[in-house]
Amino acid sequence: MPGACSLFCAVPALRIPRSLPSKDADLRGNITISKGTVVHPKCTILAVPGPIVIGENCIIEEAAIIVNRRKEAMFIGNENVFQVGSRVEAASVGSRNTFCVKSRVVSTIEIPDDCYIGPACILTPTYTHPQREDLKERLQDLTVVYGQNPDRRIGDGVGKVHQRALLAKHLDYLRNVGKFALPKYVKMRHV
Amino acid sequence: MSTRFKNDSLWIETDTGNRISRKATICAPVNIVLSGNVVIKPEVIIRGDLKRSGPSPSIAMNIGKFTFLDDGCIVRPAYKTYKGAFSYYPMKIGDYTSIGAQTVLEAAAVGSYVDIGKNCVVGRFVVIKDCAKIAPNSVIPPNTVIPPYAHFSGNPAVQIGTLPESTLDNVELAMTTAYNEFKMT
Amino acid sequence: MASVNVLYQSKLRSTLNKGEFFPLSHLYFCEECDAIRCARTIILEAVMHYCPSCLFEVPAASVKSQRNRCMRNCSSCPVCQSTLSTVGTGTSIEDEHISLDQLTGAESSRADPPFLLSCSCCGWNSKSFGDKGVFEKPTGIGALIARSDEREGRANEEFEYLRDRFDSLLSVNGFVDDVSIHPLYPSHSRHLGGDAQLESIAEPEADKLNILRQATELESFSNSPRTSYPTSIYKHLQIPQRVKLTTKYSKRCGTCRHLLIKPDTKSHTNHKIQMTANSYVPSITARIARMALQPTGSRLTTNGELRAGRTYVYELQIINPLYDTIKIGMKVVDQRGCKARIDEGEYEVGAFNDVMEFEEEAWVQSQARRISEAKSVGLVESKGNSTRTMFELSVDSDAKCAELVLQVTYTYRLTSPPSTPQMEEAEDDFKDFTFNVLLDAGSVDSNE
Repeated sequence: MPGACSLFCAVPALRIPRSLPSKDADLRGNITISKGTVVHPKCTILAVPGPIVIGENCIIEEAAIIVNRRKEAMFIGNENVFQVGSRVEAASVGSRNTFCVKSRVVSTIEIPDDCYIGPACILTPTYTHPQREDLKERLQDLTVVYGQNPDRRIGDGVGKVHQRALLAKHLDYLRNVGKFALPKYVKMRHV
Repeated sequence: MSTRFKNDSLWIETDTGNRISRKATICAPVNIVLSGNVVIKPEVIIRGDLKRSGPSPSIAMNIGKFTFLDDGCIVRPAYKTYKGAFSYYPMKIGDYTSIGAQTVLEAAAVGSYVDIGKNCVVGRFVVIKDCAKIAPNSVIPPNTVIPPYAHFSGNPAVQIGTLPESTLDNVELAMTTAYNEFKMT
Repeated sequence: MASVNVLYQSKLRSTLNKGEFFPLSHLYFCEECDAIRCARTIILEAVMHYCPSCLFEVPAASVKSQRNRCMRNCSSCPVCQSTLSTVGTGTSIEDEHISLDQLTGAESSRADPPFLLSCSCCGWNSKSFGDKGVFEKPTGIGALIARSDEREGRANEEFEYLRDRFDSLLSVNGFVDDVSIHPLYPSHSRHLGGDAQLESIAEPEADKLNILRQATELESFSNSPRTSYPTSIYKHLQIPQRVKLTTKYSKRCGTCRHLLIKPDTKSHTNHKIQMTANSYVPSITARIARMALQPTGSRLTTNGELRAGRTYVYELQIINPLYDTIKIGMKVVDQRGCKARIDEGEYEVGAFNDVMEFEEEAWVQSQARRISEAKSVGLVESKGNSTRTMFELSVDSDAKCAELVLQVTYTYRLTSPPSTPQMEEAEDDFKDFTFNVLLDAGSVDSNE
């Protein structure tokens, strides 16, 4: 039968020194995943030049890609959601951000807190300096990136509690999915 | 049957004519219903494991006949909290529907004779009615309803036109022809 | 381009105007007139109105009073035009930074008032337009918006204002000879200070009257060339629009007024009467034949364009939608940028059989007459209700595009009532129908 899937959920802090051989997720390099984060199958985390540190209670969905392109460590805060097919190469990521389906963030962007990168948006700096390629742009908190171009606007943080509650319950569901589903099809790896 | 196709190692054909690539990732097939003559191409991901919360078995995905899931598309049920309880909600895809390559589908329901282009993003709880068409590279925001015979395009997607009345017959013919001419290579 | 665009002419004419050709799927067929009808030769009649978002059917009587917009909860975002949803933002949890473990209870997701309209695409919410965007109940918001008069009041004001301006310009001056003050000819010499009059609408109530008063002076009527006539004044106003209703039409033949399309009021998908051309007229598709059949040197360019001065072999497929065998013949009536060599003989195309299922596929295969794959002109295969023929297209050496118009004539048996003893086989009535199709083989690459 086509490959069964497995979710894995980090209960204690997990430190992956070099690489975790897994047929479901492609994790390479020095990756630290903190407690409570759920990693779906078929996602990719590449910490090849520098390490990646992922905070607590994040969700990394299938086909999401997190890449650290630089030598310095890439810090990702708590309660971030990396949706299906998103590709995040940002210099750093704060907390409570959502990276929607197929969104993409380049390595010269720093993401603070409570940002929302809309579906299929490619987020590049608004301003580049030819001599200083390492110049990074830091978004404002609560930035919403959406649309074709893409446009940016600053949100007002309404409904933050509801959003966090949804995430809390979503994590709760994913951690318990092994109990409901047949163990034959869903392997839960508590690492 | 076994001599009909050379690539038995790459494809599975069920008794009801479903053709499934072995390179597709199908999570918890027990929760997925394929009505027959469904084609699932390589690198497709179907999340049958994300079913309604609770211990009772339930169907997470229902896919109608003569439906095509093109290379690399990802089909997963949508989630929300309802009356305080979190759950994933089952997705239903109708008959004679095609889902383009690399498209991510998190809809609540997709009707019959629907054409979703490649590289689209269909948000959570989107309802796509019969005979609608989604242009390639479109992004449909969550909770949108796409009316029948509508042609949507853009990011965020808006209606750009109406499809002719003959769409139903044309799509049905095109999909059956595509199935009959489909080679499992 | 491996496939060829095939367009049908809605009227049989000798003059070949490209605007008269449509894809088969967009055409209708009138049985009374025995003619193809296109979007220009039909009459539309509104049958019902419904909201494309909630699919609620609005009675015709209230469409006008509701300004052709949905009165329920459907509205679209002023920033990005996607559908807004109603969300309850009230919560019993005071602390925003409470730990996640304490949020798993049912309590934490309860949607309490106040309710807002919120856009799931760009994150806009109705709080940004003040108290009028905050609601106590999650239902009937469309009606509330309409009643609160905000948007339509402003839209009407804008309309009245513009009408007054144009009226006065046209009636007082009678005839505007000074182009610089004419609103339709924005003057370049005037100040580019933006659309003062549109800006004014976004101003609060009190200022607005003031500015409106000022605006009645001709001087303030400015239209900078860049910002005149913005596509959506609502974008500027940041007010959600109620969703516009969709109308379902029945379609009648423009000549004899017979119904061609009658929608089924119970279902959004089906039609009670559906006389679309694809169930009367044979469908013709064409594509370039496989490379092995092409003459030497006749390859497509990397962009899939034809090369000038070469000859290509095409495959033409005819599918019969009728329940009877037809005889079909075609001849070239016009060609641009190419010379076509086709078989002008008559072919028989088998009857359409809609009960044919997969078990019968093998039977069809055995019936298939594979005449010859090797020849470049003429019949190659007939199978079920489809027939494939080949034709040759020699692209001119100075051609920009290759187009071909074929006149197709097909003969079919008229469906006679069930044979009575008096009727003999010989009395079968045959009828023929002629139409033109345009085969567009795409552009030609001349840089050889």
